[in-house]
Amino acid sequence: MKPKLKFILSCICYSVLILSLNFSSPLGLTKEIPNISLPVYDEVGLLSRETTNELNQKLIDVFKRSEVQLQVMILNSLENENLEDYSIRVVEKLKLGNQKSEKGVLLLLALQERKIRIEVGRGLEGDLTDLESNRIIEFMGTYLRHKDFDSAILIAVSQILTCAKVENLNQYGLDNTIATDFQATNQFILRITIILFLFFIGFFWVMVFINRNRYRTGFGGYNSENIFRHNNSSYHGRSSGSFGNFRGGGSWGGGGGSFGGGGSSGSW
Amino acid sequence: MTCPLYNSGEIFMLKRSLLSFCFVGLLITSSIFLNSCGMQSIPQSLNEVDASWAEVLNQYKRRSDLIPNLVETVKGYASHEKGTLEAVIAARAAATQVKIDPTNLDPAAMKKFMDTQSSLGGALSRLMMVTEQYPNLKADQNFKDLQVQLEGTENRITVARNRYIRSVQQFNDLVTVPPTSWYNSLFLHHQKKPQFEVENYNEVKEAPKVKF
Repeated sequence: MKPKLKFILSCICYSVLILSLNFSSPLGLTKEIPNISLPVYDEVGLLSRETTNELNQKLIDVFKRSEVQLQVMILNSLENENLEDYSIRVVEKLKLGNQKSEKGVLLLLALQERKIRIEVGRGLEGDLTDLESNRIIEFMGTYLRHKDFDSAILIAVSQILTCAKVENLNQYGLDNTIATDFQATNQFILRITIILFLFFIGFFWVMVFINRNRYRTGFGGYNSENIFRHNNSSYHGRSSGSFGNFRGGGSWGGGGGSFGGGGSSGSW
Repeated sequence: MTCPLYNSGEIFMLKRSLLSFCFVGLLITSSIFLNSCGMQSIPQSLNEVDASWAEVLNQYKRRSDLIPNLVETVKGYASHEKGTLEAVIAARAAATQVKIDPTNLDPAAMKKFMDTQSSLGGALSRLMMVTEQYPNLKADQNFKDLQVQLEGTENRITVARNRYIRSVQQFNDLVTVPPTSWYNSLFLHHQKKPQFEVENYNEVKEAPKVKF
């Protein structure tokens, strides 16, 4: 190619490139919506891997069986954008739920701002009312304040699906007994802890008694274990083992459901 | 002179197939042209504008329907606040009386409607501010429920208004931007619709978000 022609062509290419960059760069006024392909989008890593995989698998299954599409979205920060504005933009992009039944729900958490929103699709507005959504958010607040994020999300999911009248939730371990199970597990752990503590006390005194003749200044061997160690993943529920990293099989999102702005917001 | 390659019968067949080919080609291109010219898109967009306006009205009505219950609940605890309560009742009555015909959205009628709704929003936010001084009222379950429902309704109003604005913009684009504008000026003669104007929009937007 002639050098002059080459020069002209390269000028054109560069200018096209620069122009396209100028026009396509976002103004940065609103927070970007990430690409989402799975029911659980957790950019903070708030949930344990088991919970995330469990929820991914179960929520995809729930969608297949009942047309209810629940998206869990955990953000680090809203970056100065209004919670409701961002939420409605997300659901308009994702189009959760089918075009026909429109049973989409978004459960959105913003960690820095400590805000929650449940955005309800048109098809579910009768069942998952604003009041119900608010009640669920208040209920989540207790667990979130104790930093038990897994339980908070699992309970919210189970209550949302119950309100949405999804059938056979107990097969997923996501029925309403989750909350009571959690309390029962807590009590069980407490009882075991007390028994162990008493046992150790007894053991300690027995040892002292046996060794009272050989007691010296040091008493090596007994390290004061923190028995009341709070296990962050204390909620095991009915998790059916790990699936490794769950990769979505079919398509998720883009179903065509519309949202009317129903739902509720809250904070913790 | 006769054509050396084809006989007259074959030429006739060729001409015929060429003609039918041209005819089909003309059909295809004209249908593409007609579809992109606005024959379908303009009426569709118009329907979308009407539907989204109906949705806006629907959500305003929803807010209006919550108010009597709210007034009664507040009265139970804060009966001295007659002035504020009566302002809400009066604003609601004024707003309900302004009827707006969805198919005839002229700017004056729309402005009147939006003004009455803004006044109602203002009266409501003043009422909510007043209720701050009554802790018993704030603890009342019925009042808390109404607050949640009111916030939900205000959000729905916002969403419906934004959708209406977008639909009007889309319609106006079709009517003013070629090539659909040419079709419009030749056949349909639709006017550009007034875009949604809300005076003191920021005030209205802030109305339900009162910090307690």
